Amino acid sequence: MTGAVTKGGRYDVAVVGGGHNGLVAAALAARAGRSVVVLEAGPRLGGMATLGPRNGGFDSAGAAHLIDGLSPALVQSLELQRHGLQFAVSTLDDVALLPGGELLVVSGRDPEATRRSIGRFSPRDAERFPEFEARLGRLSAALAPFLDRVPPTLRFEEWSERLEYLRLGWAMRRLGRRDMRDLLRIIGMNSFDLAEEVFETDALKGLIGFDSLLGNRFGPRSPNTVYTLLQRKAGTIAGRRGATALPKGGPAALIEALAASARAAGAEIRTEARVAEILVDNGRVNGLLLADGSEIDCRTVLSSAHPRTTLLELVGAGQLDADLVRGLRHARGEGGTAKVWLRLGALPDFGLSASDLGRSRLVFAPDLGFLERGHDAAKYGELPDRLAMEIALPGLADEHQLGSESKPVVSVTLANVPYRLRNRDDAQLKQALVQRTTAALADLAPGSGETIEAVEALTPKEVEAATGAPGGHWHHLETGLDQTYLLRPAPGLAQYRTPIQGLWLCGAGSHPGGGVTGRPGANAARAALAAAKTGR
Amino acid sequence: MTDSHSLPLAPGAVLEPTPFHGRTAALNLVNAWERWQGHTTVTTFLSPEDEYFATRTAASLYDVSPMLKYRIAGPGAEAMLDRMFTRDVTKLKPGRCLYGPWCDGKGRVIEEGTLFRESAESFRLNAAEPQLHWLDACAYGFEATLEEVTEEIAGLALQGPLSKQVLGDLGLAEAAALPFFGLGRFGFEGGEIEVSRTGFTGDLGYELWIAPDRAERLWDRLMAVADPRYLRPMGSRALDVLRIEAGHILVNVEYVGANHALRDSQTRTPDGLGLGWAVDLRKPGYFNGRRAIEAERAAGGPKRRLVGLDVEGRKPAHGAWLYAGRREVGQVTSACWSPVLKRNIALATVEAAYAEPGRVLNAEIYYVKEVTQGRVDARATVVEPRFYQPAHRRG
Repeated sequence: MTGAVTKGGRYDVAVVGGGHNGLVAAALAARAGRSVVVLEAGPRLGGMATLGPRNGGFDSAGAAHLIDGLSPALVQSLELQRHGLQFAVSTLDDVALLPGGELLVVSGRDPEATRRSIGRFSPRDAERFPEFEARLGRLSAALAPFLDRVPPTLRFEEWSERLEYLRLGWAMRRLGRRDMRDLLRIIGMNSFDLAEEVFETDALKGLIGFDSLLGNRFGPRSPNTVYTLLQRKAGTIAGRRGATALPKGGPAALIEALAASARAAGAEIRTEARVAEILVDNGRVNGLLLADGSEIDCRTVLSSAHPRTTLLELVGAGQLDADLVRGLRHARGEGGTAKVWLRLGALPDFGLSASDLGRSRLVFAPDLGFLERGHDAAKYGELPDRLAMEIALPGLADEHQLGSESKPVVSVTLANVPYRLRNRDDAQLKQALVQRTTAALADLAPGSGETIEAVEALTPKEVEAATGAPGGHWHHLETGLDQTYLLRPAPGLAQYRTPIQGLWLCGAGSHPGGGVTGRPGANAARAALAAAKTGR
Repeated sequence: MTDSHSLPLAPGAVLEPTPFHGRTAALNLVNAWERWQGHTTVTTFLSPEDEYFATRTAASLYDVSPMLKYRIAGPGAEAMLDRMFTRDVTKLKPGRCLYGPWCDGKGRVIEEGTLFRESAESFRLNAAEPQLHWLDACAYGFEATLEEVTEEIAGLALQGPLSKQVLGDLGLAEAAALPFFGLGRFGFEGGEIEVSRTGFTGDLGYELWIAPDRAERLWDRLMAVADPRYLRPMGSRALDVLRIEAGHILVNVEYVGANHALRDSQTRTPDGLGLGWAVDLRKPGYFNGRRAIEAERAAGGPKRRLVGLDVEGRKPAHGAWLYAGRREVGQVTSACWSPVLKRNIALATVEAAYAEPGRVLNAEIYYVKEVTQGRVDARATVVEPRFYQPAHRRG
């Protein structure tokens, strides 16, 4: 070491990345009495959640415009409400948009409205829907406790591991014979087949299919999309399981609440502090080297960066076993989701009142075949002619999200987007996404096309560039069964612990995955703190 | 009439000849062949005993061309191989070779073999089983290129106490003077020959590496001095006795490589194979399996260990079960009567608690008694597995 190294401070715990999982981990470690620093490479906090345009009236836009699974235990233990977390809408309605202007409403608040709406398409489906929702609710509730727990290893000789399997087995057993059989039958199925079994209404099936694949590069016929659907439904937000909520002030406000909670507990948060290397001495963490040449002195590092970034770039393959490196390299995680924001001069007409529109999550996925064909195109590097999408107008129910020009901002999340457009560059993909979205909007909300004042978009490659997560995938890595629980992010790394003593993975690449849940961050922080206590 | 169960006749030979085939075939008087990595190699030319004694008392030639060879080159090759091998590759100088194991992340031996450092940035790895897939996994993150060069290099092992003189006869005195585990390239017949002072017999010896189109010329030059030096071509049967005497382990005989084993219980860590000496925990860099090996050592070492056995009587203890009293504690993996030692020796894997030298076990040996199975119980004493280590091998 030369004298050029400047001291970056000494901490018990350093957290790499200021996304929501990093902030959760930092807040928990700080609350446990550790001195903590969060090192965010970029100029702002929030990682993928707050990505988006900042100027031109898009001030509060953030990629995670709706939240569907923030761990309730975290909201409580980090006192997020005291630190400013509020929901403008705690349970949004799901509204399936159909060509020709028809709507199908699945209301989170009003079962009767749901029954009436589905009944217009199929009285039979209207009858079946409550039972279907209850069924998914029971099955996902059985999985839910495991989202907050460290996955076990396959070392059956250890009693603690056996106990965890017993716990898992007991959760299944408690479902009762009928539900257990049902869970075992459908968990590996695809959502296409499940939806086809139960319903006949295309719009309803499309909605189910869309929820099963959003965030992943899946089609409804992709294997185990029932599992991803259950995982989505297992989340609880604002007291309701499987619901979707609109945070007041947008994702930025949620991140600010997390940051405030962390700071209140004593954590220091630095932006534009890029970690260049995780220093390893004799197999254990020996500090962090920052890009500016300074060094952080710490023995515990929680990294919310992508597992590949953390282990292959910041640590380096040479410190790891080649088979572990191979497993990490094979983990799939090319993004299939993009964002488009449109600033309109007038309220778009989706056939809903302004107040209903403000409390709705609009989904355009008119049928399962539409979704599957879209996925087919995307998997061969092509952009489907019409994209499945989720639309929200956060500014209608939350004046804080109106933007600086007080014009409604339409926030669109696009599914079935190829990570790479074949024979085209990313700028052309971006242009095509904007073109497809504006065309869809003009179609779904007649007359809105002429009112578009500004458009912004965010491709998977831009997410990758902005966050450093290779692939720019929402969940860092896909959340299919082969990359979940004790296989996430890769075999041998599922307990947040890495082979480097003192280094823990606390980002979306770890169990249970992405979405703004805070769970990977919380589970990892608890595991790291427990290990420090027992000296392991 | 067609038989749907019959295999179609192969359109050509299934096995490839080695570059020395034209010469070895002419001398293979009993037409005894076997397959080795897709090639035809000689089991014995006429008399395994003669071939064995030539090696122990004079010199022999053994065609090692089918051995898999990989070239690893580039500015990151040293670091890549240092991470792959349990030994310290950074200490290996150009013009030197090392022998050692490489392990997976669980510390289980994938294989062991020799590594030649041909220059600062170019190495050659010799292996019995295909390694390209593993090398590829190991190369990620390092600036190194990989190339299989098996078919580009013909190999001939020249082994035995007179091998040094034989090299001198060929005008390769400089090569003959190579130090133990030395390596060099020398002028030969208007071209080049690479010589390494390595081998599998435990005797003084060399391995000669040459372009395949010049292989027969090398053979002819060697055979021209065969009679005055009692240099004899050798087959695999004699080699097996030689390597057991030397205590050299063989993949798929003493253990199964970690990447191929169907059962975890068949894999071994370096300590379990008696290769603990080749694990360099003092080397600064990480290597595959290091954490697992350290953990195994901290937990008291492997459950089973490879040992040498000195077996009473003269029935080779092939596959013999080993007992301590009535408790079955291990099994023989390789066995032979050692003509040079006049001892009945074996390599075996036994439970660690029964592996210390001096421990006497009971070997249950089955043998063919004309057309029936015979059985004897013989005392088997645990000894160091390097049965025959003549001083002249380093001389």
